[in-house]
Order: sequence, then C-alpha cells, then structure tokens
Amino acid sequence: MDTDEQMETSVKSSAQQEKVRLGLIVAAALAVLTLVEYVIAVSIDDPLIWLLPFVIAKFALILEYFMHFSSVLGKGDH
Amino acid sequence: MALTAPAAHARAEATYRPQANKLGLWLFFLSETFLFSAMISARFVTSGTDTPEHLNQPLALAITVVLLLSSISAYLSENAIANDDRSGFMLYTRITILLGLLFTAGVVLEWREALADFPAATIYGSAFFALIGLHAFHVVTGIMALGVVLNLGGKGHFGSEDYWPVEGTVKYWHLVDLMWVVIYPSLYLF
Repeated sequence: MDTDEQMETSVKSSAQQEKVRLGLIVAAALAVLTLVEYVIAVSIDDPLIWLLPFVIAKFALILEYFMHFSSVLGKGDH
Repeated sequence: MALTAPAAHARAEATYRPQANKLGLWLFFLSETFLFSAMISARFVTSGTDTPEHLNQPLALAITVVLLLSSISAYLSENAIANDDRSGFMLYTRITILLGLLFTAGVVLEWREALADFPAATIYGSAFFALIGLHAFHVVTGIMALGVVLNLGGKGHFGSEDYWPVEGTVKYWHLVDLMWVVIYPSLYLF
C-alpha cells in the first residue's frame, strides 16, 4: 500500500469513527430525553404541554442525524 | 461527439437515478406521515387526552428503549457499508433485526394485556389497537426489508459506492422509530 492509499484509508477510517461517535451521542441524547419524558409523565397531571418539547426535540434529532433530512433540502454532505 | 441513444440513456440514468430514488423515498415518507398523523389525530378527537389506568407503562418504556437501540444499530449498519466494512454491516443489521423482533414480541405482550383491560370496541381501545397495529405492521415490513438487504449483503452486494438499498431500508427503519416517538407519548404519556 503506497502513502496516498494509506492516507486515504486513514482519513476514511477517522471519518467513520467520527460518524459513529456522533451517532452514539445522538442516541444518548434520545435516551436521556425519553427517560425525562417518562419521569415527567408519571409525576405530573396533564403533562401534555410539558412533554411536547421533548417529542419535538426527539423528532428533530432522528430526522436530522439518523435520516439526514437536510440533504433533501440540498444542505449537508450526506 | 454525439452520444448514441443507449449511451445517452445510461448517462442520464446514472445522473438522475440517485436523485429520483431519494425523492421517491421522501415522498413515500411524507405519505406515511399523513397516514400516521390521521391516526394520531383520531386518537385525540375520539378520546381527548384521557388514558386508561391499566396501561403497562414499564413495558411501553422498555419497548421504546428497544426500538431506540435498533435505530442506533441501523445507523451503524449503514455507516459500516458506506465504509466497505461488510462484517460490521452484517453484524449491525442482524442486531437491528433481533431488536425489531424483540419490539414486536413486546407489542404482542402489550396487546394481550390491553385486550383484557380495554376491548378494541371501546373508543380508546379502537384508537390504541389501530395505531399500535399500524405501527407494528411497519415494524414487521421493516424487518423483512432488513432481512432482504442482509441476505444480499451476505452474497457480496453493496459497497461504499453502491449502498442505496441499505440506505433506503435504514431510513425506513428510522421512520418507524420516528413515528413511535409521537405514538408512544400519545398513547401512554399524555
């Protein structure tokens, strides 16, 4: 393997690791939001208003980071 | 130099096919969103924000976490094949399928309990079973689609330059997760 190929492989590998790291961060955020959502729901009467921001935040995280929605609008590199 | 008709067609196909695929998939997602929105609206129109006392909250939370985990493994699966990591793709796709099956088993368990507590003929029951049934149907079709890409991947299909079927299937799986993000609080938490 020549130097150019090694460099390309290394760049590719670090880009993959970066994407994996980002995916895990988003997943952790979703998990935390879900747990907070659950705690609010079981401890507050009529929690609709309190839960809506969590639903919207989770929806937006999945749409953007897992489904790459911005690429449909011509933004981002996905 | 002018291209021959087949060559021009092949070039146009190569240029526009990926965009057409992507547009078609997102239009399908839009139609799915309308369908789920109508069902979720029906739940609130027919029974307000009332929820029965007997809902199994821990089970609902558990299957929500399982579906969330499956979304991560699906994301890792797509990322692996995009980087020519076939063994990673096979591993994460298998994990996603297993988690999907686990979610489906959880839904079956939930249905058994729910049927005893509020029959489908009640107002809340009809919304509950229709919405969860519709979602479970999407989970099952998602598992089938994942099975197809897993099978093809095992035969050497797909690579960093050609993984659209995997990308489309994984996006569909994320859509299933996305819909659950709204269905779960609508049926269990509000």
